Amino acid sequence: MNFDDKNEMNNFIKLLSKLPGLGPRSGRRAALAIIKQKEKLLIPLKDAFNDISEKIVVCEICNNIDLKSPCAICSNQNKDMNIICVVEEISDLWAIERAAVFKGYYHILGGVLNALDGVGPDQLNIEKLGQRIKQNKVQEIILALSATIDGQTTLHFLIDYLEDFNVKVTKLAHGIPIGGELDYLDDGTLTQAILSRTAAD
Amino acid sequence: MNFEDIGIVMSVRRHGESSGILELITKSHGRHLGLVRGYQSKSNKSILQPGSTINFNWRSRLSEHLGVFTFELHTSRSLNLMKNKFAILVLQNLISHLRLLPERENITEIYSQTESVLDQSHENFELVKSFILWELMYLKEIGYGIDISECAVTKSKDNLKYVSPKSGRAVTQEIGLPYKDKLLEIPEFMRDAKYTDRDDLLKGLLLTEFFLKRDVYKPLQLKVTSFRASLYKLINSFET
Repeated sequence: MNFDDKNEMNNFIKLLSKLPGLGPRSGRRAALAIIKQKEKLLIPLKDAFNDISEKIVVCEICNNIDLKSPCAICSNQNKDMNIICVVEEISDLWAIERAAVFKGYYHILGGVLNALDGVGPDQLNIEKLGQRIKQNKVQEIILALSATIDGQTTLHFLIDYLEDFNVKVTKLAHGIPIGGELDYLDDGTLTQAILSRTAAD
Repeated sequence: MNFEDIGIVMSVRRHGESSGILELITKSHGRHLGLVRGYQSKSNKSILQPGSTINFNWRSRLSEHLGVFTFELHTSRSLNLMKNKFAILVLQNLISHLRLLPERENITEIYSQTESVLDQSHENFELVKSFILWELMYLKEIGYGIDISECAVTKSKDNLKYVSPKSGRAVTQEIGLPYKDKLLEIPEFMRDAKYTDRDDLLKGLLLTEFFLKRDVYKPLQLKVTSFRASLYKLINSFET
């Protein structure tokens, strides 16, 4: 097969090579593996892609993606109505859900403030957060944002914004990760860990 | 092409899956960009936070190419910056001004002054004061400096109170008083470095903002970032 030709096969490889972790060479390998297993992989993948592309929607409440809106998390009545955890992206929501430690609802901002890239408060999903707090009489907002300059800029902005809502605002702690060795930690993390030390009881 | 230098991280943009394009304000090579391989790694991301100073090596086959950075941390300011609302807003404002500098044009004064502003982050009002003075220096270094050394009319060096928005030159209180609504007020700390209060900082921000908007941002068809308004609001929220 000539890889310069513009045919369906090349188009398939080209699309695969755009996926995270894949390049043109690994895209070709993945394409070959899929095609070789037509019944086991190619057809189920085609069906799965069709289903996803038809059914996937953005949740009107939290901005999560799911097959229905409100999403499975927002329509779960067993969660704690009083707490909302604010995260930057869907991947952050998935990470916290994986940990299975948080029992409240989520709110996805869709990024962080970054003036240089033109991301201001209007580009983020902030107004809707205010509406949710008012409507559901939320008592606590957890700001689960990255420990980066842009993440913390957004955090300070949200703290100011939430001042008018009579709600408890908390943020994630910074410190030593599980399995982390002190020798390999950066100065900032180590300093913060010492400053935020707790009583050993 | 290959050189070593020291620089302050301004921003990193993701490039491909694991690389990033790093933007620095350097000591001897001005605002400089280059590729960082493995930017997505945990250790590199923590080093390449805006405001940190790094020692770096830049190499490229031809000087006009983007080139590749290798680096190690010199000074991390992330923690001090992140926990202080004033510091984080000053940093964001500094970066948005630095971004407008021409690439690879060395302005040593801007590098050293930027570093000294970032190292001020322990006292909020002093930090903002040094940031406003930094903006005056920035305007001067890029050719739009304002002259508050003497009165444009009487040549007197005393009692300077206003700046003309047209000429960018100072006038004394007596000369400026009849036109005070059209003039910009000079904050006290620009005459007496020891003096700092809330109203003075607000006057300072308005003064530099006028010239930055007119001479720097507007010709480039840009607007000053929302972080400036946030800084103004934050200072304004303090009791006098």
